[in-house]
Amino acid sequence: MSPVQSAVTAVLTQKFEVSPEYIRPEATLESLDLDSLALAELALALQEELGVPVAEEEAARHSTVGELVATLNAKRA
Amino acid sequence: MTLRLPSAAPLLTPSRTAVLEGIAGYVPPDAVANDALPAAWGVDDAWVRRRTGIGERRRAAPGVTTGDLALEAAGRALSAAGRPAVDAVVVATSTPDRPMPAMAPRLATRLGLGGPAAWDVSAACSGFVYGLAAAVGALTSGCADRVLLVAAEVYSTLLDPQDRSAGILFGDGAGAAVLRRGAPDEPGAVLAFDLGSDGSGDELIQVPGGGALERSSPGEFGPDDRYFRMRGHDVFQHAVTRMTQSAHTVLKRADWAAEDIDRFCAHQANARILSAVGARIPVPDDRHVTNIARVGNTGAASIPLALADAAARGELHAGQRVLLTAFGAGLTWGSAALVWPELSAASGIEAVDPVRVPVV
Repeated sequence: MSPVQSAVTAVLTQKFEVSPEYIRPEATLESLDLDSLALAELALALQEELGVPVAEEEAARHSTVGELVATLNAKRA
Repeated sequence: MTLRLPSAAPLLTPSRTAVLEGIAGYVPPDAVANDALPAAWGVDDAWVRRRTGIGERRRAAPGVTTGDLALEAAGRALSAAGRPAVDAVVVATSTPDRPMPAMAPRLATRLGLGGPAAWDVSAACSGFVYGLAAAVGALTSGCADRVLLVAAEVYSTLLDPQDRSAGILFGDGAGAAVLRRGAPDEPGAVLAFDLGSDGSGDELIQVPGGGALERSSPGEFGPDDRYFRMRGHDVFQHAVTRMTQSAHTVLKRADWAAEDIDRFCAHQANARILSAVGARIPVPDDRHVTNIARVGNTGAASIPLALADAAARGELHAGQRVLLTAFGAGLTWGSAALVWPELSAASGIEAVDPVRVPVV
C-alpha cells in the first residue's frame, strides 16, 4: 500500500470510523457518509499528514477514494 | 520587512496587566429549536446536531437590537463586579445597530456611566479577544483604570433566509466583562496574547454590500449582498489551523504546556471545529468550556457567554488556567491566557432576576 493510500485509509477509519471493507477505489466519499464539513476535515487531516495542499474539489462529495489517492500521489510525485 | 516578536517572548510587561473582576452573559428569551427551523431547509434535529453540535439558538424579538442585548449583559457584568466606576467602554461586534456611530458611546450613556472613553472593536468572531487586548492596552497605558468590555451580536437579521448553512449556526446574544488594572500574579490576570490576521481571506466570511464599496459601484451589488456570506469548507480549514497555531503561540508566551490548561474556551463556531482544535492543541474534551448546544454561534459574544455560563454553573474555579482562542472574518484570530479569579456571582443564559440598569 502506498503512503498516500495508507494515510487515506487511516484517516477514514480512525477519524471518521469508516469500516475498512467500504474503502474501495470506486467508493465515493459521499457513499462513506462524509458530509461537507467532514470533507473539509478530511482534506485538512490529509494536508497535515502528507504535507501537500488538498483543494475543496479534490476531496468532494462525488470524488472516489481512487481519484483522491491518484490526485495526492501526483502531488507528491 | 515584518517585525515579529520572538514567539516565546512575553507580550505583557511583568508589572501590570488587566484583571477580570466580573463577567455575565445575556441571551434573548426566544429559542428556536432545530425542529422549528424552516421546513424548506429540509433538516431535522439529529442532522443539525451531528453537523454542528447545536440544539437551539436564540433570536432577538422584532425591535430588539444589538445595543439592547449589550445593555443587558453589561448591566449584569457591572452588578457582578459590585457596580464599580468604569472609565472606558469597549464594544466588540460585527452586527452594530448602525454603520455610524460606534455602539460604545450610546451604551455608556444608557448605563449612566458619565462620559467615559468609548469605542468599538470590529474583529468579527475574534472580537472578544481583540477587545480584551484593547482593554489591557487601555489599562496598562494609563488611559483607563477600569474597562467594561461588551461583545454583542444580533446575527438573525443579517442572515439570508434561504441560507441554510448559516441559518442553522448563528444565534443572538451578548457577553460582558469588567476588567481593572492589576498585577500578573493576581487571580484574574490576563497573562499573554497572540493576535493575527490574513486579509487574503477577506471574502471567505463577509457581508459584501452596504459599505463604501457598494456605494462606489452600486450597479455591481444587489439586495442579497447585504446578507452575511460564509464559505464553510475553506473556513473550517483556516479556523482549525489558525486557532491551533494561535493557541500554541500563546501557550509559549504564557510559559504553559498544553497539559497546564485547566479550561479551554474557544469561539463557539461549530462543535466539530472545537473538537478538531481541541484534538490538535491538545486539550481533553472534559476541559472544554462550551455552550454551543444551547445558544449556537453568537459571534464575538460566544466566548464571554460561554465563560459566564460555565461560571454560573460553578464549572470555573479561582486559580484555573484558562485559554481563550478565537477565529473570525478578516480573517482574524487571537488567543489569550488568563488565570480565573474568585467571582462573587455570574449570570449565564439561565433566567436570572432582571438587573436594574438605568436606561437613559
